[in-house]
Amino acid sequence: MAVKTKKAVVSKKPVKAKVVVAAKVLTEDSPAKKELLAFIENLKVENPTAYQKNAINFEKQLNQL
Amino acid sequence: MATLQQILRNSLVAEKICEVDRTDNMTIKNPYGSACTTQITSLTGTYQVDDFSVTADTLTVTDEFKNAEHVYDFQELLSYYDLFANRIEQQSYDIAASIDQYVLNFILTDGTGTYTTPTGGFTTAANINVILANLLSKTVGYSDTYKGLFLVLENTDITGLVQAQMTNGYSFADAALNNGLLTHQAGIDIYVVRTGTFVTETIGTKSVVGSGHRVFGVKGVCTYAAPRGIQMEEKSVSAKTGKECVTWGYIGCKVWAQKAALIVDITIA
Repeated sequence: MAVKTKKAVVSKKPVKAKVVVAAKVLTEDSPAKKELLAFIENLKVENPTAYQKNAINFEKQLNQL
Repeated sequence: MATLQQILRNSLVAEKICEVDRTDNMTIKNPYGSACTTQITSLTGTYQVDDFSVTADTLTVTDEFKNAEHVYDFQELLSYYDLFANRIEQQSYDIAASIDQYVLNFILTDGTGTYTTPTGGFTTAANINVILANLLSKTVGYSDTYKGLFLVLENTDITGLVQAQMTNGYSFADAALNNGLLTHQAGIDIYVVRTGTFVTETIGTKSVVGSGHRVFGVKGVCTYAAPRGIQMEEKSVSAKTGKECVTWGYIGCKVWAQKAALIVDITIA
């Protein structure tokens, strides 16, 4: 009689996945950037034409700050 | 009595490039009508009657510039110098300089003409002819240009400008080599102010975007109103010897709507 061998069923324990939570570093805007942002918001209301004229330059300046 | 040494003063430009009104008016109304549409047809003898509109454009005096100090009697009496005269004169200059800065930044913020210089701006001599040619193209062809053209730069720009003047042409270059900065080039009157004049901030009630900018345009198409110019008062005050000296001025400025294209806001690349 042939001996049937059964493969042992090895239950695999679920591997605990190591979840690495990347720490989100919150950076605050510099005072100069805050001042410029406030100025831009004011200019949008006071003088939309002047804001439109300088929109691209403001973006460059904000990226540098 | 001897006078104190004067502090270093900037040259004032606004009065040379703008119309100045010193009457007692709070507002100056300057409305404009709409453009006409000329009908061009074959010989018909008939035409359409069009509508037209009038739009208000007003200069309003909105800002006040003031300066006040107190000279005690013992200070005036026991000093070898005329302190009172010095403070009044100093205050008057300071207000005039502040008004000048206000007007320059105001007109460049509200001018609708724009131009960005090649990289290096006016400090690169090779850029000068390119910049001047491009600026001229912004205003030439308009009938107002007979009034004269102006360009206001900061002193740091002069390094490139003077080098360009010294190496362009023959008699022009000789004149620059002999005399330094030539204040008329390519039909444009060149004015120089000190670095830091063009700013991006709120001056009084006006937000201006002038830092990294210069201004070019036609003279006399902007107006600033300074009712009664700069006024001063000396007054006795309670509980103090001597006199309080106060100097003040009122300002309104306007780039007239129909002329805004004649003021070019130059951005230094």
